[in-house]
Amino acid sequence: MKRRDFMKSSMAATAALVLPSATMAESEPPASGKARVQKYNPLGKTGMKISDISFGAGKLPGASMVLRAIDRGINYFDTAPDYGPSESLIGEALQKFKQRDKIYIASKYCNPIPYTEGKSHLQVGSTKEEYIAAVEGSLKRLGTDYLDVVFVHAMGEKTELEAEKKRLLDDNMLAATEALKKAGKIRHLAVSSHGAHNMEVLLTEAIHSGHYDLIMPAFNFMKFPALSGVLQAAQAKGVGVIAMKTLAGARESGAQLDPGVFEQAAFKWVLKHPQVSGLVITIKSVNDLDNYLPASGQGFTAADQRALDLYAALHGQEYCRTGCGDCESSCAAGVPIASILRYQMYFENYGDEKQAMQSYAALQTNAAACASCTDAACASSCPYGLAVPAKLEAAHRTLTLSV
Amino acid sequence: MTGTMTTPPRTPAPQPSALVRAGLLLMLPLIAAGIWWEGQRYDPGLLEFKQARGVAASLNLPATLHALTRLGEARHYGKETLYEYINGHAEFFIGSGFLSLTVMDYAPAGSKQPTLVVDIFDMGKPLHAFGVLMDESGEGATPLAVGSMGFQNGRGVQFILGGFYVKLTAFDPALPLPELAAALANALPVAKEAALGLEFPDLGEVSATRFIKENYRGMPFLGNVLERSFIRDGKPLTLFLLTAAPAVLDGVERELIAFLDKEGLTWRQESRHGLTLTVVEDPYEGTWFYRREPERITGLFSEPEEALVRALLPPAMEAESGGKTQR
Repeated sequence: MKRRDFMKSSMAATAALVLPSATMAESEPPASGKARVQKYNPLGKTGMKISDISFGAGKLPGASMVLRAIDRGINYFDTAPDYGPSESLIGEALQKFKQRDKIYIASKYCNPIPYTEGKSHLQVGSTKEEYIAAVEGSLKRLGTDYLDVVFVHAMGEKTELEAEKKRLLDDNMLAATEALKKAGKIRHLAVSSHGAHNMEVLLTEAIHSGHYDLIMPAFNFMKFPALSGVLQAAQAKGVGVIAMKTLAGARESGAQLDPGVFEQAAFKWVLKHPQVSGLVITIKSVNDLDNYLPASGQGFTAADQRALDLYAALHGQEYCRTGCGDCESSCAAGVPIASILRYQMYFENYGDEKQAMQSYAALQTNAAACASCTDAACASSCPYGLAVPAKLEAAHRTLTLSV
Repeated sequence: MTGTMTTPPRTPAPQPSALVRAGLLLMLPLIAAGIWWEGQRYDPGLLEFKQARGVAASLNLPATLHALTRLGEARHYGKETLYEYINGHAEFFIGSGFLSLTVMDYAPAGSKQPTLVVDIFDMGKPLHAFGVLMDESGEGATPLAVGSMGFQNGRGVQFILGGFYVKLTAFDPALPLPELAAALANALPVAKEAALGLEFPDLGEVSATRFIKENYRGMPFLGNVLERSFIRDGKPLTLFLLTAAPAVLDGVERELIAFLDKEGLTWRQESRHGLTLTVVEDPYEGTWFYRREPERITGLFSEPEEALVRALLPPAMEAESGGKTQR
């Protein structure tokens, strides 16, 4: 009799009555062959050597997931004060793991409030003390006395290039960073960018400023026209590169691919670039470890390319390329097209409906007027052929729950 | 010996009569109707943006609450219009099972300036209402004895009763919020048997209660889990609770056992005081155990110590052992 049948059967109840403290059923011999990290890469000049597939803790379901990941070889954990209980859960895991020096923890210069664009990330005008307090808050929640990396996060979330450049090289932030480094509370400064505006320019500025030890760009097989130049500049300066948003929108590929096939192909595409030390991917369950880690240390193959081609064929004309932003200047009304399509992606593909709607509601100009707009300039503005007007209308409907 | 084999003449397959065929055709609408009927019984926890009028839309709620009088008619919102009322936060409610919202403003007699706003969310199921309460009440909220569970936080009170999540917001600090909330709870059309029904064993001082929608502790098949943390004998203790129809829990338990085997975690079943306990030796979570009832799985992250096992006893046996439950 199979165990699961046994569990369901009335025999169990009978045994419970007859045997006061009997062992009724038990586990089968353990399964073997769990996927684990196969490769660790140096991260620029930081001295760190990180797992090529690393842990994005934005949706961390529990401390045990961190411990499972460590057991599978992951040694780099990316968290933030505004990722819910993520920092506290990593702290709980650290209490059990105890070997703080065996893993790397990266957090952000952020406030611990739910994600709201422009509010959770410390902006220009924040004092040195506020930057320091942000890190000290992270240290307290993590239960550790240092961060390996602290990020100036989501560079390029605003359209104004000069304003973002100021945030990138903000005097108060740099002074706080220096003080925190001297106090041994942080080890490296980093910058991340999801786009949507001026990603390449801002990351290049960061690399050449000499203040940043590593960058984390959105980077995936759906092409970023100028990003290869950024990667080369980073390599030349000894600045480490960790990739994020590697799944190009993370749409379901349906029954056409087995679980993990597309993800592994996408990861291998990213990791075949020698300038990229590793990637951070959100891990929410044990299934994610099983599906993602087989890509570690593996070369990119023709089969991988076919999987990516299939994905591109299915979604290539739907996916708004992070960091592109070529459409932005086409709208005379100033609708932030790339941002809106990104929020739509958060809503539809990432399951972050709340964040997407909050971000959309905070926009000064949204896509409400697009349905009645007669200016066709945006229609031909996407170099990848996306039907921008229709996508904006759909995004407005989705992000406002309107009919 | 040689010979030839002859194929017997084929007999045409019997065809149903015209009457039978007509009968089968007539059944199609019935089958379609059955499918449609089944489709109406969707889980409101799923995203569904079509019009849905919940019970709250037809509530006959009091025109006066203590010395306050309702201003105008109650306003009703469905999934498609909720965004008009709570811009930027509608999705959270919809994703948590929201059916409808009724909003009422109350003011002192003769005034047209509301001093109390009452939001009554019909969340469909007590579990959904509970999940929203846990997320919305905030860490510093003070427990309040109203409805099945309630909290006060400054000038706001939130409580749940049945599938309702109710929020009172006062603009006059002198308003007696607990009394107003109690009066409102009494007016809600909720039968006693529709109360939350999620009694937790009394295992010590409650330090937190959370609702986890999906991937509980990284297990992709465990969702809609309630977790309560206690301080017991000075140490933290965590209990989890999962309630669902027996067939659903059968599936969950099958997946759980398969998961334990796949992960190489040692487990065994034990009989203790007539209860069947499944005990798991987990290097990541430590030892934990659970008890399966037809519509409920109750687990504890702990060794199956005698006192804890007794706390999981069913009510009749619990009374004998002097155990208590809490909500």
